[in-house]
Amino acid sequence: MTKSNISEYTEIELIEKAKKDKRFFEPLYKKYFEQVYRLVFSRVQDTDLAGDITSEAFGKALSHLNDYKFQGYPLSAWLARIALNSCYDYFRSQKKQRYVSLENYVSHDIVFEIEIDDNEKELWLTMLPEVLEKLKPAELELIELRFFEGKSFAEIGYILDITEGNAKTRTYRILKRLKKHFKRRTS
Amino acid sequence: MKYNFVNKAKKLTPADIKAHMNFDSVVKGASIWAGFKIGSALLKLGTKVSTAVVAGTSTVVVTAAVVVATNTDLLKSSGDSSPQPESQAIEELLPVEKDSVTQEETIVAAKVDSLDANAVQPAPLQTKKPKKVSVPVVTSNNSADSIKAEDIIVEARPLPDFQTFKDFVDRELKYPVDPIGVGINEETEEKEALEGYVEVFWTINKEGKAENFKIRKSMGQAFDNEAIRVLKLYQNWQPASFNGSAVDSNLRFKVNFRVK
Repeated sequence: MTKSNISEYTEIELIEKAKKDKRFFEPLYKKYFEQVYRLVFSRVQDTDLAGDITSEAFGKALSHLNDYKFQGYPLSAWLARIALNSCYDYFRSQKKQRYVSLENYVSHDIVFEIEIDDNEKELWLTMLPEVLEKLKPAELELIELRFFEGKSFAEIGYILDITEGNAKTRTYRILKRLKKHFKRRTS
Repeated sequence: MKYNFVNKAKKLTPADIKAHMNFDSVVKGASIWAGFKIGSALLKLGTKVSTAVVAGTSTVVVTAAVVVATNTDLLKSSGDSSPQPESQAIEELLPVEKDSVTQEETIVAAKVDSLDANAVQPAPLQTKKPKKVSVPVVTSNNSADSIKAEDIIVEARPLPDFQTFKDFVDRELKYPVDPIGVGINEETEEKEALEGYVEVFWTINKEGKAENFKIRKSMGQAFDNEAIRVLKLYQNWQPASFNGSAVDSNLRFKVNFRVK
């Protein structure tokens, strides 16, 4: 089976090819760069730094491509997993803190889950920092991956290295906690 | 856990992102990472999970050696001998044990396929100190002082200081004479005074003006109006600032009503 044009390969074929010849990774790199870059950027809020971490993540992915096996999750989930770990590697080694952008937390879905009325959004926004500081980084990732990145629980489980059911349970537990904080402060 | 909070994330243009694409450097950089474990167990869900994973893998190791008796001993010792300062941690350990059974299965199943089965598999020795596993995560949080150089958020505050503001409110606040605010004692059917507080929520704008007063917790119209009236009188505010530039911010304050 010979294919003349590189674009004729499917993703899985490309990965298999890239294991032997790194050039075949380039279309995948182009396809997923923006996605991974945005994921990293939302956590570091710095264009150059995000570029460095994204390149690092792709470098790691490329060097470990032989370990990659298709398990029913898209390649983007694997890349996201590597990128997130690279981010937290960076936060730890450089003693930096993760950025949290608050505007997302008043988005429709999350406001609906915590049962916040429209006129309470302002108050919710002022309370957010103290509420979110109670969450561990992985808990924050659960919420953000689910509600802001719109990933499935199965994929989140794969990214954070927990089972699908566990990801789901934890997410709803966290939402319950957030809701409790909010109700306690407003009633 | 401390985070850097930003109200609005910066907007990225496709050009910004394209500018950082460089496949050649990635190919070059790839060789550096060849020896690294990529799925480093940094992003764990706290002590709970790391304990569970350690317990799970240790069972795998021991059953492989077909010593079932030591297996339970090992698990026990990992629970008992570990110094657990918070009683909460011990409580949480119990439901997690259940989890660890399923996790153990998945680990065995995924062992061949998983990218980083090695990364989450510590030496059996470590089982005695499950707490140790999460240490890197903890240390990364404690170093708050070196970080604050980037975004400086200063909250709005009354001038010259908060005590003056409180004294001012105490001095100006009058117990409303309006009958709406007076309750009736059910037993003696006499009028009795209400005590309590009104929680007010308002905005300090960029110019340092207080505006947009709202009641968060009401004690009745008469009290609410009195609380807002007094807070409106105080007009000496320093607005909140973000990296040195003034921004709008919201404040909450409880106004106490006491009968003297």
